Amino acid sequence: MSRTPLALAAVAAAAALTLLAGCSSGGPATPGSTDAGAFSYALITPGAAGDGGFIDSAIAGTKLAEKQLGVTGRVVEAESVSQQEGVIRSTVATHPGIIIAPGLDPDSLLAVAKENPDQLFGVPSDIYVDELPKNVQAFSINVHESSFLGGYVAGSLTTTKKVGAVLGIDNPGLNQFFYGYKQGVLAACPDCEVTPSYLNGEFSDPSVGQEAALALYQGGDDIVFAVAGLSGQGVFTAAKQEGEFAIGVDSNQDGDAPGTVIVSVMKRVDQTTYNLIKAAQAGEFESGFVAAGLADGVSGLSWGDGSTVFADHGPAALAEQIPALSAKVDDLKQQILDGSIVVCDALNDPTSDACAALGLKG
Amino acid sequence: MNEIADFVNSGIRLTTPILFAALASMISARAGVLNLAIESKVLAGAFVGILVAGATGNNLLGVASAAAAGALIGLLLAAAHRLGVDLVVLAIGLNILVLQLTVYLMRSYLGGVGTYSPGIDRIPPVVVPVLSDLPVVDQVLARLNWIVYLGGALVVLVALYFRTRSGRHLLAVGEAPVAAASAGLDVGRTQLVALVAAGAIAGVGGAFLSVGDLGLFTRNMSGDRGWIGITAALLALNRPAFVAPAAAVFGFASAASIRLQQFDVPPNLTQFIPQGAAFIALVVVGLRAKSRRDVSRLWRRSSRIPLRWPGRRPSTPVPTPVGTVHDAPPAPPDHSDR
Repeated sequence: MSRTPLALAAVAAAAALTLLAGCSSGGPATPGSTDAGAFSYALITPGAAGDGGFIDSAIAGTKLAEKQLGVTGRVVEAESVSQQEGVIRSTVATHPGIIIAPGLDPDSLLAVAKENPDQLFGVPSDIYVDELPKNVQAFSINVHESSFLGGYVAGSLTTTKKVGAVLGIDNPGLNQFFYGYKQGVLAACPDCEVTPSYLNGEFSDPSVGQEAALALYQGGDDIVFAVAGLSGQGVFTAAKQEGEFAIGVDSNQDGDAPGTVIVSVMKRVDQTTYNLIKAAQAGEFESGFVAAGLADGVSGLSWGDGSTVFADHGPAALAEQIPALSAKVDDLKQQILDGSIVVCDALNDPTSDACAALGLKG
Repeated sequence: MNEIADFVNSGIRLTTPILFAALASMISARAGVLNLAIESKVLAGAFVGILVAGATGNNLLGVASAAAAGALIGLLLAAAHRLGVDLVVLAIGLNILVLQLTVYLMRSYLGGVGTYSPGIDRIPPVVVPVLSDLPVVDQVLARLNWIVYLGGALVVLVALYFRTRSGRHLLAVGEAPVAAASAGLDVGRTQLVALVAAGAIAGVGGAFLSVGDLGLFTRNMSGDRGWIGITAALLALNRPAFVAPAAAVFGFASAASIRLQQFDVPPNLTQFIPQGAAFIALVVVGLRAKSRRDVSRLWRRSSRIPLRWPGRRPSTPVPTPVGTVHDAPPAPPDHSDR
């Protein structure tokens, strides 16, 4: 009979540990709005900090806002879609000035937003819905133009005239990266070959990313664009093993494998997060979609941010080409901005002439 | 030819962690324990392995610690089993616990949040004399480190072990615990040893991912390989002879889904391959189990076996305690009909 309490105790201990681990992953939360009067924000992320991508980037944006704008707030993590609605509701109950919600389940977010018309919501990166309630502002960050610049770098530096890309999944969002990249490669090197490799939705499996990149390198590619979240880390390890090169994505990944990652195509979720908080604080919040991209500085190359990791650590033969190439990229950026180069946008306009020229079937 | 050699090479690497997980699942199942905590052991192995390898600069020590971490979870499972805790519930809890714990520890102590990369050298590939000089064979064997060969060796070792006296005892415990207990075998201890061994093996599988293959750790890097290993063990009908081919089905399906894209096979089709393989495998297992009820029976029963006799359920017949089988007093003769 004495076994029953013991068994219960064991289960309780396991449950307590699980809970403990769950709570402790609550993360780098700064204590709630203590400063009376200061504008407050709340950031709800769809996963743990440390994705090396948009979640970390959004957190960086809030830190910047705290420093520059004197706002206060906290970060709330909602690990699964099933938790999200509850987390959003409990966050609304704390009445922050604005709730920043990157990558959350659109249905939950919009349902809560409609019920609380006085609470402002900001989505710093893509939300795929047709319309938004009056209290929601959403950025959609277009990456095709900055991917074009990344592709141009790859096309200029390749010696085998073959480059590749490892993408997490075959969907319009990621193809916006790929077709922009492909167009950029072909702009620098018209007879180059560009090969995509899709990972079946594996965004956190570097082992699979490594195998996919190895397949590309063994096929003769010498630069691979990693658009696959944490799986992209496997692309970098494969590149290091093979003595080849890679291009990073989302945040500045140049330092993840110094001398191997040539440049990163950045999606500046930190910038849009900052912009949302700033606008809300200044009372300039406007509902609806805001398309932003290269022109707004929310997407671009890590070189544009002054990253010189590859120029410093890369092999001399390539590194010495970087300054000239960097100038050329700035020139191309101007041409994109003034409209003399039109880049294929596989997400918003897949039937355009630019896309048709790349073989994208709209 | 080169493409095929590279494909096989990639398939072997992707199979290795699944093979370790499948071996762990097989050993547990044959000892009569439904072990669903393999995912957590793989992840714990991957994490502890790289942590120790990074701290000491010694990869071998890292792999050994990974085995120890997996064994520790196995021990926890065995202890809980002895207390009568439902292992299915515990295993699910453990899988969640280890996932969150690695994230928590990484964040709190390792600076890196999503990725931990201590800058170690991965375990170098084994150069096999003679074979590594042959043209195509060298490509197949390229980038395979000693953990890959250890996986193959373990399959043989486990197969041989099942033929030894102690291995037979383990099988007997799994097949018919009551009979094994009444024959004087220590059911609890046998299952404990099996769970600890299974944990160590799964832990090494995790170390292959972090220390062996990538040289870094990322959140949830086990990527369901523990679960795939359980499926592979089921597909192999928990027999050592089939476990490597069954694990290879999944590893090579994954490699195929990556490699076939280079030949203009549409990605939608290639991406279906791993899932398709798992589906077909489970259908095959289901059909087998229907005709020969052994597999499903083994699995259904395994989570219900009480470990220590006498059982507390009034519906089950109370077996004689272990060790007193032979000197139990004879039942009093029944004279009621006289």
